[in-house]
Amino acid sequence: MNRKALCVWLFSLLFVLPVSAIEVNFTASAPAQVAVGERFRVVYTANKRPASFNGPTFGEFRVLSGPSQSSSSSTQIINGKVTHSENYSFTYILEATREGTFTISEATILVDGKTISSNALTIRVSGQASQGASPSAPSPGQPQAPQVQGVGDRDIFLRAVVSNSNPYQGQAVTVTYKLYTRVQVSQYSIEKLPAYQGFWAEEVASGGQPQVTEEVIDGQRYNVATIRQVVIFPQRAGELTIEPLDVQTLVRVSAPRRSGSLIDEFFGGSLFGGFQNVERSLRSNQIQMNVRPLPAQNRPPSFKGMVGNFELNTSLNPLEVNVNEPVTLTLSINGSGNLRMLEKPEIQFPANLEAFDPNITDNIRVSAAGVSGSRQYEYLLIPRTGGTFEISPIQFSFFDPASGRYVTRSSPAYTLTVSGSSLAAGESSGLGRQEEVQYLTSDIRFINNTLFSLRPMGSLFYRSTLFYLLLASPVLLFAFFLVFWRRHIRLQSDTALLRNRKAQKMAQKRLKKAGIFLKNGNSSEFYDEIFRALWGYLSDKLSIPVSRLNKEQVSDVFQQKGVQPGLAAKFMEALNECEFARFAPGSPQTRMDETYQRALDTIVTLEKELKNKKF
Amino acid sequence: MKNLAFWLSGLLFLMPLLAKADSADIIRQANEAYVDGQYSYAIELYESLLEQKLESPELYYNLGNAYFKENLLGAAILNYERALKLKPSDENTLFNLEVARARTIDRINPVPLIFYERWWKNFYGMLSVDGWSWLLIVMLIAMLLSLGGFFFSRTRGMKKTAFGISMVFVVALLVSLAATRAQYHNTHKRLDAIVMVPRATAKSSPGEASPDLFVIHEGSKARITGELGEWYEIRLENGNVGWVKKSALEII
Repeated sequence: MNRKALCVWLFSLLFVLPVSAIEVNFTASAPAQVAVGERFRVVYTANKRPASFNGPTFGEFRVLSGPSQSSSSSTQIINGKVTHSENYSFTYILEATREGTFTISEATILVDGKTISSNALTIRVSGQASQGASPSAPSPGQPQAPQVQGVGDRDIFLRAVVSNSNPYQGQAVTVTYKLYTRVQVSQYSIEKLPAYQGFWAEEVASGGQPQVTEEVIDGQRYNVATIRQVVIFPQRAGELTIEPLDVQTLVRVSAPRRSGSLIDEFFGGSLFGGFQNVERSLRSNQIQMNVRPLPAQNRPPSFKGMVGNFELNTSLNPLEVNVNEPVTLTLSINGSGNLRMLEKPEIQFPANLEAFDPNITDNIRVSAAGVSGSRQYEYLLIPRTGGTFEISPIQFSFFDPASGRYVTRSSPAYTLTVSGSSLAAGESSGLGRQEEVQYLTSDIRFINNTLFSLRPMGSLFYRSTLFYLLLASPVLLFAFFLVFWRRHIRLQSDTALLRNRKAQKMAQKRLKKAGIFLKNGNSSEFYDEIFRALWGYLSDKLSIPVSRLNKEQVSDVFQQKGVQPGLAAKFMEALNECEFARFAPGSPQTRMDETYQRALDTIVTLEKELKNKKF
Repeated sequence: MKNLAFWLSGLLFLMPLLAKADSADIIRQANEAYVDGQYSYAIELYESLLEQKLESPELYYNLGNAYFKENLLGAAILNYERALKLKPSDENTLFNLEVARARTIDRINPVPLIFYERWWKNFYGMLSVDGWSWLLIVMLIAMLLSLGGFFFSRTRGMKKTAFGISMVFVVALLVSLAATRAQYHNTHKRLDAIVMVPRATAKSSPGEASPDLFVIHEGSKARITGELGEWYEIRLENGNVGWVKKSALEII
């Protein structure tokens, strides 16, 4: 090609340019079918720079962004033929809100003073495409992730999955955060960790690169990476919420075309940076948990909040030692559950067996299956005296969520035989013992384990009717008794006086009767009456019953009363005569007269005598 | 008709016995629950007896123990105090009350008593009001008997002895009468309360807006000296006076 020819080519180029711009083309393009909730792009393309763009009405579609304007131009020379193309596009991002077939009206542009319309678009929206796999569906109250051009919310999302949404308090639950992508993720970083309020959380150590699996959701194939796993233990019962996890990702997307260059299209853009890294924020779903409380029934006293499944192993070594030689009590609890929350078991060591704080060794693994391993307590015990020490069985209780009941594991009782003398070096003996006594007495005493009797509440004996009654009745009884006794005494003395006074009259009456018998000559009746008159008089006069009178007593009483001895002899004689005559009947009349006279005399003189003596 | 009356009266006599058998069963269950360490269940059972308006010092003592084991110090102390009201010198109750008090937060130093006040307090505290009442009756009967001996004895020596004995009983009767009255006043006339909430603020006057004077904690004992609406006026053993919400206190 010579110099002249080049000049001609260049010159012709100047003329060709305006000539090639002949017809203005303005088209709209969009997918023919979308699903509800899906986001899609509507692009209006013109091949000449428009003076203005007048957008369509979208009807049932929601406009998420747009119109975003872009332009490109290219010039091609193929076999000497020069073509020039310009490309202006207006892009909307829409979201289908409901099912059906909808039309988007035509848009218009103004080019060279002429109004040009695009084609109208008809889009069919199919039913619920993806309920679960659509974290893009913006839930109210949750901030909308910023939209990145070219990467839909269904292309990449984060999901949090719990192994059990209805656990018991203290039961291990695994939370797995999975990243679902259909695009390439070059990098991700966790921006904000949830606080796990109300939980005790243990992160599962991930082995460097996350494992990637494939999962199909609604016919879409996703690469799934487990980016984080946490084992959590709910610390209280009730409704608990796990806050979402925020992740920042760097997604590789094809760069939006700035030119419709064939070169770019030919090379697929990748070679010359046609892909670009776009930052994308993701947020996992929030998880609601209903935590069940541990049952209060049958809760063993040694239960300290452990939930899971454990075994208790204990050993005491050696079992026979000398005084002041150490013994090791090893207590190991292994299994799966909230091992880190294990409290030091309370062991009551016998007095004089000095126990040091245990040495704790943990071997705890956190895996997706939960927390498992063992915790070992090593007690160093030093017996300070000889003899045998009984270490009572150590109880360890936990709640087994699988069976839903409490389980108690118990160690055997150990007997430690210590040989040697008593308390050796007194450094830790005397004081230590006193402390031990104090320690032992800081618990309350046992209940009254008898079937004690109950009484109605508020019943007070003091000031009750019974109280007053019991108080008054002895006094009244006493007073009554006193009065009665007095009266009785007075009455008794009165009758004695009366009889004393009437003694003579009685005697005279009897003697009169005896007088009649005398006249009739009835001797036995006569003596009987005389005898009775004498005895009766004496009985009345001395207040002594007749039955208790006898002759010896009579002479005694007479002597006591100071009656003349002659009179007493006379009285006795009369009595004797009567007695004799009674058993020897048929005595002569004159003797009877004599006896009668004598009895009368005796009574009259006795009466006089006793009256003088003031009986 | 006569027969029916007989059976009815028989039933009336049996009723308390039936109730007694029922409560004995509850006591047994509650004691077993306590021994098994199910303290909350034991509390439930003991409280059910109190709801039936039944009481005894042993019941309050056991209930106090169960509350103590559940670490409810206020309720434990309240029940120990109630047990002591019915049985003032029960050694176990006094001991456990001391243990429970040692765990409370407040250390209120009581105003010290003069030695004879202390003696007198210890003396009448030996028996409950009912115990003193029975002793009073026994003393009275003994005095009357010895007085009777004085009246009815015939010899001079006997009369002298009986009079001396009856004078001793008269003095004993007067002393026990005074002790009964003192104990009655101590346990039934005076209102003492226990703080049942973790902390209660005593105000200078009954009202939320009035200034705070001092704070008392669960298990502390206070004497109630006044009442107004939702508030009690309390006096602590160290002499401090303030107004506390009724809901924070429980009367012994």
